[in-house]
Amino acid sequence: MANIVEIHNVSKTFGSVRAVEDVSLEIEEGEFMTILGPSGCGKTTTLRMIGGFEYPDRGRVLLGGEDVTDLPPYKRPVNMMFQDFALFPHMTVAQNIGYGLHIAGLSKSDTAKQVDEALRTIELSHKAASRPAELSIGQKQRVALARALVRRPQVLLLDEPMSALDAQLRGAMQVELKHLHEQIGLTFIMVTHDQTEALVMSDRVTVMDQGEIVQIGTPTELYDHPASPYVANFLGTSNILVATVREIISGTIVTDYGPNMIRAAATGKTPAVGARVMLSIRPEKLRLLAQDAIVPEDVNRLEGVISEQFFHGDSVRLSLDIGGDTPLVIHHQLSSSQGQGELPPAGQTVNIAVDPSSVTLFEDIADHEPEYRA
Amino acid sequence: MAIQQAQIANVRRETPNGWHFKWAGFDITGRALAVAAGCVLAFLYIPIVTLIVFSFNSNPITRLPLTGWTFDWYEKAFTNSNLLAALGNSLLIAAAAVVICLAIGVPTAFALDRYQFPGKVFFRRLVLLPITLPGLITGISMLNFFSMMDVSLSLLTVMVGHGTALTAIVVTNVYARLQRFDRRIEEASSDLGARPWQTFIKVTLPNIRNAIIGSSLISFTLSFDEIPVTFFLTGRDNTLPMYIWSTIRRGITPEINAIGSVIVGVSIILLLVSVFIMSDPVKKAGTGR
Repeated sequence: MANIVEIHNVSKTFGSVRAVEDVSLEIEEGEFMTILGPSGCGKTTTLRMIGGFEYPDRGRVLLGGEDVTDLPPYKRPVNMMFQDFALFPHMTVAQNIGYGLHIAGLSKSDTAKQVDEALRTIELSHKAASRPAELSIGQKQRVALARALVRRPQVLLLDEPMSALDAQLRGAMQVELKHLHEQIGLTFIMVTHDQTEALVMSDRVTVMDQGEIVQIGTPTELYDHPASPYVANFLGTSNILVATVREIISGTIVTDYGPNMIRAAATGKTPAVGARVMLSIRPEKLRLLAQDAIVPEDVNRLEGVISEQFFHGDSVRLSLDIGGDTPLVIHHQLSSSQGQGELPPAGQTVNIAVDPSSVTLFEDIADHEPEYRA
Repeated sequence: MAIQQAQIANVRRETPNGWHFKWAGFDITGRALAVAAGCVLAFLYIPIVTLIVFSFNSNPITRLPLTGWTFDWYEKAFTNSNLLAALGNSLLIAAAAVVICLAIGVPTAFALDRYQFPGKVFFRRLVLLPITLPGLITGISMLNFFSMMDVSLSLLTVMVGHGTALTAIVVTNVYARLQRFDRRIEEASSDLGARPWQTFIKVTLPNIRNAIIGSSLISFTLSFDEIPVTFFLTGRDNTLPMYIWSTIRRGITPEINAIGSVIVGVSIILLLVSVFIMSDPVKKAGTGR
């Protein structure tokens, strides 16, 4: 498929702050791409450069193969849904939605027809004559969406579209937006700092940190094969352990972490024996073993003492001291056959298993502090 | 929202010893507030009411007791050609001053809000200076300036004088509004295909309209009853305040009371109109949800 948006080596500086540094990105037609990162990582600036609101210091922006770097927003075939929606406070809902058509020179009757249709789609026909200030947040969001879509842009840009919504509405809107994307087949580019949102909605995710792209991939790729401890930690949660390489045996890297031995499947490069490396293990990849359970020879079996239990309703997170610097966190799903009461209590020694393929090894430990976020 | 307010109201009623004192069924706090408000209103409006009352009094000397009802003074006022000329001049000057204030003030406010230039802070303070200067000083300095430039004094010089003295009002009001203005709605307009001038007319202007109308009205009023600057800068033409002032030296005539009453009436109408125009369209549309 053709790339509808291409960003080539774009950089942007605000005063002395480097917002975006040499970013290149290609977005396919019809794709739902999310740019994910903490605040100040340059994700919004990148989006605003696609929209034409920021002019890059260096690099080019291409839309549909055409260089639009020098075009102002009003000449670009993209529309943006702004954070906090930026609805026109002095106009009615209908006028807000019809604004783009009115500006494009559409006749009053054609505009009215399309606005009516849009209002029906977002189920706000009864609010056509209301002002934005009279709408609930969820209604405002739908108006903003309709206003951005009514001009049939080639790309829809979404700047933190859920940030104003409460948790419950957010979940519903995520599904709604995803459905909308599937229905109209338009290219969506969304910016968010919320990793769940990125994982749930996107076809591909671009993770940014400090103005640079860290990794681009599908949600599964990013989750299962994070390129760095930063990505591992930013998408979902991860146990990050600093271990020492003991030996490398036919595609498996054997490391020592405290008294335990943890094996990781080698992917590509292999570290030197004796090197300090970082291991990333997702809490849900760790299995609590029954006392007498037998695991296959090639599966890691670790022993530790339960230090704390955190009840999450449908699951329990166990903090486990396995003798290293950082306690290990295990996500244990509760089921109809097993409630929290049947779990071993704090202070008990237990065995856990983890597949070497679920252990991601990072050679470079210099730039990221181990950190666990519950 | 409504429920919340009702709850707050309940809490207030339930704590009579807080700051709502009641005695024998009377709401003393409420009474005291009403009396205080009445005193303030009386202090503000009794002189004006007096003026209106005497404009209808048949005794040519402004003195109690009232002697009888008459419209004569209004008739006299509106057949006095000197007075009418002065009134016309005043209206003309005020209108022109407003135009000058807007023409200079609005672009200045935009420049201050949106552009960085060296000496910006200094410039902002400098623009505001004329409003703090006594009219006397502005008047004298402008008189010096005009005579130096060999400009003969006329209504035109008065208009320029008022314009410079009052521009600061427009600048402060519009600048304050722009500071609170959400620039993202301009970006949204641009995003939806509007060229900069379309964005300005359809989005920016409607949202700062109130500040512009409000400051225009204030400037108009201040110009309308301005004496010091006018005194120095007018040629042979008279303005209404100057005319009244010169007449009053021979004693207050009921004619002046009459024209004063008319101005009060017009002011009240203007006030109502401005309240209507400037009432926030968002609020005006109700608070239904």
